[in-house]
Amino acid sequence: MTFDELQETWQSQQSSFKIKIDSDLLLKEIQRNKKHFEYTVLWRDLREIVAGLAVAIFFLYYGLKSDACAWALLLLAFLCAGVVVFLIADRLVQKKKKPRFGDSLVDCIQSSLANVEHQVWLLKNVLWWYLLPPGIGIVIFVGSVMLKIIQNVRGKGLVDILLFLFAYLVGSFLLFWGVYYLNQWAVRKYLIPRKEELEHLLHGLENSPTVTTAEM
Amino acid sequence: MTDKQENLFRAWFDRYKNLIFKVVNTYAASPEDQDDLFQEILLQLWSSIPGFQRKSKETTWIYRVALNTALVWKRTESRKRKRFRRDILDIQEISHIKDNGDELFRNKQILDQVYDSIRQLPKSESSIVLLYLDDLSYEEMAAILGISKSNVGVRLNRAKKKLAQLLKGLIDDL
Repeated sequence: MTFDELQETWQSQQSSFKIKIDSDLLLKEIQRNKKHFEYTVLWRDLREIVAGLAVAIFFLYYGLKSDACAWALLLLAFLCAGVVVFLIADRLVQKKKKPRFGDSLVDCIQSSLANVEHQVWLLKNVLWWYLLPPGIGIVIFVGSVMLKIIQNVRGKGLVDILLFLFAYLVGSFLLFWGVYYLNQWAVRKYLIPRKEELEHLLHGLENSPTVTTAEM
Repeated sequence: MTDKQENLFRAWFDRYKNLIFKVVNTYAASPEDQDDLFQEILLQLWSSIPGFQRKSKETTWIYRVALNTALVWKRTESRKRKRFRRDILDIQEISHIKDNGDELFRNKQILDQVYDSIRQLPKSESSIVLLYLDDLSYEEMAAILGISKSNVGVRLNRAKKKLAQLLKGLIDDL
């Protein structure tokens, strides 16, 4: 058999099977799937933003209410709000760069790759933009509380309170380390293999340095 | 989504379901995976309609959406999606091809072998082979893939050689 004959056989294949679909059911199913997908994305974004805002509001409320260490609580609220603003801004920017499936394969894979690279960057640097701002806030807050206590409390009570604050700091550190570790694990387990897969795909399509996109 | 867009989707589906099925069959082997990829392509096709401005030919657009979806589709995620999806694809083999004497039966055997071989090629080469077997011009392939016509030629020759190796005994013109 030659390739020309193979082409003929290939093109005759629709005569050997029949695809049966109820088009109304199909349309309903697609609309349902699209809604489900949009709902999942919206819920994921809302969950992160609402959680960050709740923490910021909590510290803001107590910062405004309390007399002692108010500035440290307000700083913590401000830093948490900063993380939320960064998250929202990043989501809005990335939404515009989302891969479009009507683009050519090279363009779509490049956008998907850029998208994954950005995810890798975000998770690898989670310490700097997500953990460190509230982490610094917590350390400053606990430090200022400790200072106040050392000035005002004496005896066994002082040791108990300092031990509690120390345990709080260690607990926070362990929690932050856990979040950091989970993010790095996700990068290694899911994102790096995905990135390599897309790079391989892209390399499979364009390895000539003077690739041009043909327009039809 | 307007009625006009809904009608366009229905028209596309009627006209190009066989094209989409070829893409599905190239990238997914089991019936469950085929059903998932089929629905995923249709979902992306539906979502792509507002962006279709008739600057490219309809077939170019459909191939782009179908191939892009297939290339980034992950079999491992198919099970997760399965929970939210109903089986809607029903592919029926026409009964008379089961008769051994029929030419269609032999063609089906050849096609099964071809699909198996294409699935063994790297994903990017499978798409070039698919477009070639569907008899698209180099210009059309270049527009779908986003590479130059000369690059299409180079890649297609390489892919055809690999396919001929995989189909040793069936293909004899290389």
